[in-house]
Amino acid sequence: MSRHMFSLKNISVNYGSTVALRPVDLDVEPGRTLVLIGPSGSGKSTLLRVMAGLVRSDGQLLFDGAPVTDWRTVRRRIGYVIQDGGLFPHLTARQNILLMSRELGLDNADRARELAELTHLQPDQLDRYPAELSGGQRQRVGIVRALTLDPDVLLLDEPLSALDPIIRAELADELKTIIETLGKTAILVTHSLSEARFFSDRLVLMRDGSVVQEGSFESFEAAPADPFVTKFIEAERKL
Amino acid sequence: MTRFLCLILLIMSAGQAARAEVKVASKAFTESVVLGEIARAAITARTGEAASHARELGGSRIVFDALLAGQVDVYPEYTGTLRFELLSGDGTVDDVDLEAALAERGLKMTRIGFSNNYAIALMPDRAAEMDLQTIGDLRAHPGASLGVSNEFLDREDGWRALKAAYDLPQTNVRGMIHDLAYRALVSGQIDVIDAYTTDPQIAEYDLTLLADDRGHFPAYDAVFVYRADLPAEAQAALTALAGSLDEADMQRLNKRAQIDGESASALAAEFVSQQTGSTIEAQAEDGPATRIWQRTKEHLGLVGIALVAAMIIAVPVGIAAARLPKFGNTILGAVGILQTIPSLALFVILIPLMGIGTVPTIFALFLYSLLPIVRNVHAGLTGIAPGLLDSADALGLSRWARLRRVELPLAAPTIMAGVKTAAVIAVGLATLGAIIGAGGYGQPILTGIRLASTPLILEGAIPAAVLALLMQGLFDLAERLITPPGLRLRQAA
Repeated sequence: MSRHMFSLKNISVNYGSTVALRPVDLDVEPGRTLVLIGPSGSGKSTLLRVMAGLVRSDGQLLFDGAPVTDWRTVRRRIGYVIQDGGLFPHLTARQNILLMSRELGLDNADRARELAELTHLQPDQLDRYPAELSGGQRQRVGIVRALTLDPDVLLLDEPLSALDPIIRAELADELKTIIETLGKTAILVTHSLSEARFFSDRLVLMRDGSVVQEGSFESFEAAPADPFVTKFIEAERKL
Repeated sequence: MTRFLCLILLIMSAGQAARAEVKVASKAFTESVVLGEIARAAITARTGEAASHARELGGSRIVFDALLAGQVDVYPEYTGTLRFELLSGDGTVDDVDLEAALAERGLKMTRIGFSNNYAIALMPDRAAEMDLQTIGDLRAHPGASLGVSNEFLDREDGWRALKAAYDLPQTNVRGMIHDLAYRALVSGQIDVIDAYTTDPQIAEYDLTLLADDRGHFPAYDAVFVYRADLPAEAQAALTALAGSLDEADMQRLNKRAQIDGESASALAAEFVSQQTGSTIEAQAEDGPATRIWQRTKEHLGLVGIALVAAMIIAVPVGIAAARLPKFGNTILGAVGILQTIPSLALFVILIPLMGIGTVPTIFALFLYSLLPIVRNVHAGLTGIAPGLLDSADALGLSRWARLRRVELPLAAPTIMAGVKTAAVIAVGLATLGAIIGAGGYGQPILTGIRLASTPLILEGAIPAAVLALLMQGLFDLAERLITPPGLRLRQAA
């Protein structure tokens, strides 16, 4: 059996007396896409941030089969994308993309160009500042930035939520193609069930800091583990 | 960091101490400045070496402490002030014991000859009309109106003590500014004022001074107080001045300086020439342009050094405050408290540690510059969107790289705004440095107040205002340059 990209055992997060994440077990297989889905405050983003080492957690976390001792080396194998791209406003798109390469003394200009092409970014757009780019362009730059160091894993926190429907559909296609073409492991957080279905047949539905059900959309429909699952599906259908 | 700053200050003070010239000082009123100039001219004439004169220092306590600390070698003082104010910690020092009390502190004194006592004065015709010769005679005129200086009205040994000593019945007593009391007296609005016996107005208006037949007022004999470790020749120059001026002489000198507008150094040169029988050149007075340029250099030096030092300390402290929230609150509170110390009080605290002049002034400006810079560094760093910091961390940037590449550029406009605030405040505050001999634009302001000369006051006030505006403009420009282009776009959008 192949090694899990992430293996979480009994992982929980507490901020003082507030529980953000109840103990969770989760395995992420390499080369597959996993979607964390749930309403606001369900702990899905917290779980993703645990996997990026941005949140201190209790329990056991293995990355590529080994416990993490130094997050900084692990993060070079992880690409992290947030809503609206999370670009640094004082740097141009290109400077954003190459920031970490520059820190490491790597020349990734060619790779940046290839990735930009893959995400349909125009070369002149790379020399603009985030404020001069549209929401979709910013998100594309964010994705390119995350991919520059050729990471094994992409962590995507609501990457499409801030976009209007047409751009969103376009970018969803591109993103799926990129993940498949480059053979990346991806973990995507969303509150949209249709988006979740589009990206993967392995969904993790969360509520109030715990996992409610894990499986494909079809299995959610056929065998809901909890009345909440049915309610969540119906709410999505209504709108 | 603090050690580094101390080092700068040490080097600067060492630079000052290296000049072994005799340092004369004076307080911020005309008689003191004239006497200071006389001491300087006499010492220069006798020793053939230049002596410096820190004019118009802000108050007896400041100059006396500087004398004790060796930052000043000699200044003119009054025995009454020494006994009741400066040495009051010793209990009431008898006039006879005064020299012994000074000797304990390594100081000596020479009596100049005249006394500058409190006196009760009237217009001569009014005195004749009311048939007044002594203070006691006032008992016969309970309706007489009095205008006394505010200080005299408040002091325990002032009006209340006088009233008790002579059983005076008057109730119509007003506190007023001394110079204005003279005007009210001359125009007949009040009958009686308190006066200092060397006031030039006494001679000018031929005022009648009432005799203190009960010996109520203590003697305020004018003396040069100086350090016992002063070179023998310089001491000889001062002792040669013993008894050289009587009250009438001093009144005339005060009149020529205060009312006729003659320069103190010219008067001193003339006086010392007569005393020693040799011709002494008055120190050449600079033209306004040279004077203003000199003051500008001094002022910029004070503000510039203080600001640079404040930035060196405040930026790292602000970063630490942003990183460690608990430490941050303590630090912000501490620099906030520093800001509330009144500048005059701060100077008095600093004099025993750093003496007078540029060093304590720069240090005070440095302390006052900390708050705006620390606070804005803290605000700039804590105001960055958490998503951006996550993105930086997730990229794998080290804490240092995150600070340098992301946080400081994003906080730069806010930090610059803090430095600008500090600079503008420092330009204004630096004018106060003149009261402890730091020079700058405060000097002409002090002289202008002393001589009631509006042009002189403006000679300090206008350049100070212009410099503050220049600073503002300069930092606005710097803020624009230092703001990363990407951020300027966002502000425009």
